[in-house]
Amino acid sequence: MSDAALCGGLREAVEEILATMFFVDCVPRANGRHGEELIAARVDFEGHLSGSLRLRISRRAAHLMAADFLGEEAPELPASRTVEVVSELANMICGAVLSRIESQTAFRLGVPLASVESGPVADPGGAGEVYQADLPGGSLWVSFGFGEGNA
Amino acid sequence: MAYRVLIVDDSPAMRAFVRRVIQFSGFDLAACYEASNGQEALDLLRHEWVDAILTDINMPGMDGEEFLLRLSQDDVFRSIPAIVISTDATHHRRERLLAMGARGYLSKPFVPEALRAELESTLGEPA
Repeated sequence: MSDAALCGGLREAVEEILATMFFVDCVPRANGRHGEELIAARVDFEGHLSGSLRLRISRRAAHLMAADFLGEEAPELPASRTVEVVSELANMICGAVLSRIESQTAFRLGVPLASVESGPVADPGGAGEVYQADLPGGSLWVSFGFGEGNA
Repeated sequence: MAYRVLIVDDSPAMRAFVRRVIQFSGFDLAACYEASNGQEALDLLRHEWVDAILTDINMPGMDGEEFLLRLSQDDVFRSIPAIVISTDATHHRRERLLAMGARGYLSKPFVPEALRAELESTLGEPA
């Protein structure tokens, strides 16, 4: 599989999920804003190919998205529920990317792990194909990679 | 006719989303129960009758495949239609779970209308 195919699959998956399940239109960007407070999530996968998806999203953007997803008022939504929604977002993106690029083989997703970054993060880090976008309230950064270094 | 639905998913966020979609889609819902894995769902089914089950696949403890297998092996539970809701949209997985007894398969992401249509189709109601 080419890097271009993986890059395209990642972009399509993120944009379709945000539009369909979160009713959010995102604007792709070349370089993410750094220094924001973030919620980070990671989903490992196994199968014909193994690796991981990593996601980081601005806390404010995540909070607004979570409130819409759950149908609750943003000011009343606990941070823990926002983290749950970010976990599910990472899970959905990982499954959607794998379904696009590994459509003929079985795969298994691990349990999403998510946490609030306690302070501003200078560099999100990670490896593999990267998709970055602006959302209402902040930015989104997703990487998807194969191999030991990403699992 | 109002229906009783069980949502089985380890993600509290996804359970809340599915419940909200059902409630606001106009589907005639009498009761909505939740379980975080297959074992919890089986325990609940021993006390509560439901008309349809919406289940995830990847769950800690008893996963969706084992849950479908246990439903199919039970003389009473096998009559309850189960619809899989999963991030896995591969043909391989869909065919496997339909062969195991799932009556429907909805891959994420999905539009709210698709969930209602799947429920109504499974329950024999007009979509």
